Amino acid sequence: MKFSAKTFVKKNINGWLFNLPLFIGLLVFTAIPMVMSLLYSFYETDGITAIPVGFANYIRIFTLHDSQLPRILLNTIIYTLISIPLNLVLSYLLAVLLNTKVKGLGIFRVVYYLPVIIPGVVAGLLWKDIYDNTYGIFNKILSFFGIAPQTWFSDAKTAMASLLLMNVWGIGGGMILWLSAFKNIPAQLYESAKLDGAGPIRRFLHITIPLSTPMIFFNVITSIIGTLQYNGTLTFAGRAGRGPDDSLYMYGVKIYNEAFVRSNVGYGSALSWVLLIVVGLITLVLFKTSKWVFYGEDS
Amino acid sequence: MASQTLIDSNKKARIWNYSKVGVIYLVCIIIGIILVFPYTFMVFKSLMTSDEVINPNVVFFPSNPQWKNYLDIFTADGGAYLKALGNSLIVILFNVIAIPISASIIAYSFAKLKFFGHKIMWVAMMLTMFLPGVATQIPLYVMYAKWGWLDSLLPLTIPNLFGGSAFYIFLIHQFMKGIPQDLLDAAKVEGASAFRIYWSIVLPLCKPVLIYIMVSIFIANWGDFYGPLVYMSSSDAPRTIAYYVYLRAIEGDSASQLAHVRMAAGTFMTIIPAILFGLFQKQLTEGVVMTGLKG
Amino acid sequence: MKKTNYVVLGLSVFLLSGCIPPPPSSAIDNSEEVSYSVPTSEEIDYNVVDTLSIMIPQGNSNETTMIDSAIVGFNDIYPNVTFEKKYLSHANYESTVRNQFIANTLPDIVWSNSPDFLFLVDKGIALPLNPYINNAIEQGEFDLERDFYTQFLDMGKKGANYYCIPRSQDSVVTFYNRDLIRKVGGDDLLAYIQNGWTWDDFLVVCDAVRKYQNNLNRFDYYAVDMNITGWLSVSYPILRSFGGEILNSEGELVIDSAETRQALNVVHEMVTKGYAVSSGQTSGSSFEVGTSAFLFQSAAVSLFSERAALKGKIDIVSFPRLGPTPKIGAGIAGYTINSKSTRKDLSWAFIQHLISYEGQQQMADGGLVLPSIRKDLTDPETANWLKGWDDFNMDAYLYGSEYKITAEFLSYVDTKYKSGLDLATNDLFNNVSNKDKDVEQSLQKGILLFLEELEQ
Repeated sequence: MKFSAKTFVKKNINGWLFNLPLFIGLLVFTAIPMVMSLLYSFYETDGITAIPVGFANYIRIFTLHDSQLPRILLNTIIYTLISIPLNLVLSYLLAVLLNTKVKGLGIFRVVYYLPVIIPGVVAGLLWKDIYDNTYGIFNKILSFFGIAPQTWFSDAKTAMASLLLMNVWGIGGGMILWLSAFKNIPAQLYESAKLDGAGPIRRFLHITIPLSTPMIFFNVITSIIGTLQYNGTLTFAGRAGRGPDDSLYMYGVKIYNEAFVRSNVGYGSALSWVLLIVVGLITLVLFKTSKWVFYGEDS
Repeated sequence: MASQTLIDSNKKARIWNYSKVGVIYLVCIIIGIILVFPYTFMVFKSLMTSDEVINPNVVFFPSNPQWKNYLDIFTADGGAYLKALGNSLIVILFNVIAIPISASIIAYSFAKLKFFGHKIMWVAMMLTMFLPGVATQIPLYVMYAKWGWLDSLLPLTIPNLFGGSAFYIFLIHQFMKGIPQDLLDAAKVEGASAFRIYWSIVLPLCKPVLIYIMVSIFIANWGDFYGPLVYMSSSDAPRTIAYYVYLRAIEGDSASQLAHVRMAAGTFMTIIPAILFGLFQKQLTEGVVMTGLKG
Repeated sequence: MKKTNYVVLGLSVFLLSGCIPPPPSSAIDNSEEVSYSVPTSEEIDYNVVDTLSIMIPQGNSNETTMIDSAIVGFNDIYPNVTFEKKYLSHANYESTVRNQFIANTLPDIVWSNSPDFLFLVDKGIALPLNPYINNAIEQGEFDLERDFYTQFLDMGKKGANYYCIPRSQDSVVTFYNRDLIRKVGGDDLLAYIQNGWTWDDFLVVCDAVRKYQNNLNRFDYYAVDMNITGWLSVSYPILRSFGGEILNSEGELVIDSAETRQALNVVHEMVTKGYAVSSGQTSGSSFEVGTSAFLFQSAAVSLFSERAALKGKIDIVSFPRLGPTPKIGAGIAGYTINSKSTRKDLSWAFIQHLISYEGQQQMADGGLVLPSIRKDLTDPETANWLKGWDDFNMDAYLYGSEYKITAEFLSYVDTKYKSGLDLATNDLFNNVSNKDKDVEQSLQKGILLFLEELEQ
């Protein structure tokens, strides 16, 4: 068949038109600024004047010449590797709990979601209060049970664990996603499984989990992306978000520190680009190994 | 004889059921208390006097509930507070309409209209999810400055005409993939244009995910003070409620003096999204019932 | 198709490279005075019609009313000049100013203070002001030594050039709860507290307060609020009082010295003797609620005088003299001129008005209750900032001008190290004021952190 420009356009015109907003938006608000920041990364600049330095910024990152980087990377990786599975599993179980056919559980959905709605800045201050060594609520409660007061955010050894614990309060957010994923599982599957004599655990393992894999996959990817960039410690951790002895110093805060506090826009842009590439690689790997995800169009 | 054992086993089953329900309730309540108590703490603190809030000796219940703390937020500079609320609502209203529509249009183009170059666009779009916002902030600021968009509501609204974040597009796309192609083919055969198919069939079916997105947009914009801080920091710029609360509470002359207002503001800002969520939670968690082409 | 992709990409990169900022022009050498021409008094048109934009810190309502009062007075001289006020949040001072400077939306006159103005200088945002000042001196409009506390004017200088003109002077003073101290030891104890008192005097009173509280079993009530660990205006002068220093004028780290150790031990002592709370613990007392006896602060008395717990019970006194070379922490808040402004002459006219006798009086009327930088405004009968504060020892703010220093060491290196140095200093004093931590170890740890922050 000869290639006809007319049919080519006709076939694609709808797709193109529907995709146009994305194209414009991507170009103007993302692509161009991204290229600009990439260009910045090859300079030593504060936004006002600039000296070209080639790959110096990147070399500095990869040779770990920046002495803060090793512990930043360690903190970020630990935080990501622990908080993602932790929150995923807990929120999933919570969703399973609320999905049981018991009357009146609807109110709990709202209750569990409330902590997620607290505005970020306020939540940070609140938790700083709660974790206070001498007069915070947590230590007071512990003392009721005769447990010694903890050092929470004030000591390098306990800071990260305290942060991970604090994040558990947000599992209501994930729970909502799982609940809607569960609703998408046809009830008949459960019915027929029950008829076949499958107990609740078997039904859970062989129906619920497999059929929520698309949502799990999506959640894992977005969680990794968000967590690697996490900079929430800026609102509550001491020392400009770095925590005692830099125990809470993570990559997202480092970028903010370099670009905005020290006006090292070039170096900050380079850090951002390295993060971008790493995240891209991780996602690529996840997609390539995503055979376990089950897009249920046929059963 | 047989009927007696039947009754016994029924009884046993009922007791087992009731205790199961009881255990579930108990667990839910315990978890509920644990998860919610920080929030209640904030509410209690919002009713204390400022001295009580910063008092190192933590007091759990306010001795004298200061309902006037909530009035204190309102009494700022005459009607300035209401104006801030109005501005926030304008921004939110705009986004809550613009984003679902544009995002779903774009998602539709990926999910159902395979067009030339879709792979590149998809990859490009996904890449934006990985970009730390910090990297584009300065170039964007300079661009907005050159266009004269600074100190207006434009930076918070216009960019969202182009789909909002890739996250939403991705979410809708996943949802749309589950819509059987036959349904749409049937409509095409009947002569419906692509837009009609999108508008009358696909879009309504996406209601659950769209509602989820709309609530997310509300919450995100309601609490966003960083955007206004960067783009609209001048005195003549319109203020949004989150930014204004942040200003009054945190950057006041003496932060500790306004501790009680801070807590009241935090509580107030939490109530609206909480109410919204309470109203819409059914839609949020209801899935799509595919009655589709059964018959 | 592929080829066109590359062409498009290449073209956009080419076009976008125009968005890269230019290389730094040879930076101003501040060891010499910058000079340019300024109008003589005959050339000035007092009826000029124009608008000046001015940047004021947000969240500080006093500053607004102050400036408003000054504007009214300024309009007596320049009746047709209107003002456009813009606000910045101090939390994002540097990025806001920088972004506006890049986008050419930065106002003509920009508020700054003694730590922050160095950023403006290093980035070429602030205009060096010597020509205007020299011209004003020549015209006889003011005389530096005669009219001003020059050590405060100098705090707005880098090298030989003036950049930030102070609108008042800030000094750290000691707020004390006279009522509480009288309860502890009567007027005999209060006699120790006079302008010019020494650190030893201070310790005597602290000791008495400590014993008093112990007798009442209030072991978590302390004599002085421990805000020194977060505040360079108190920690750095303590260091310098013994001759210790953080950076030398070349920007090298010189903190490892016997003098430093002496200073750090003084701080550590305050904690081990129970006069101030150990870091890592929370205190049960605070000056603001009336349960601590002392607080080092530079704010105006009005900040505390109306508090329910403090009304009629407090007064101020100078910061205690410490060590062989006593130092008192001080700083300035003032205004700079945008180097890209198109109304430099008019901007200078306004700034000159701010430091004139009338201007200072007007600002005091408008809420500036801090000491004026003018030497002719120290009489409670005439100076507006003093009027109505007769019950307080306002001389405390003025005492000891020969001792006053800012955090000068920050100006010895590029401003990008500022926050890191701030952090390291706070860290050091935080560790040193922890009674469970060894001073020497804290110092060694601090040195490592300083070196790290300076390499970055």
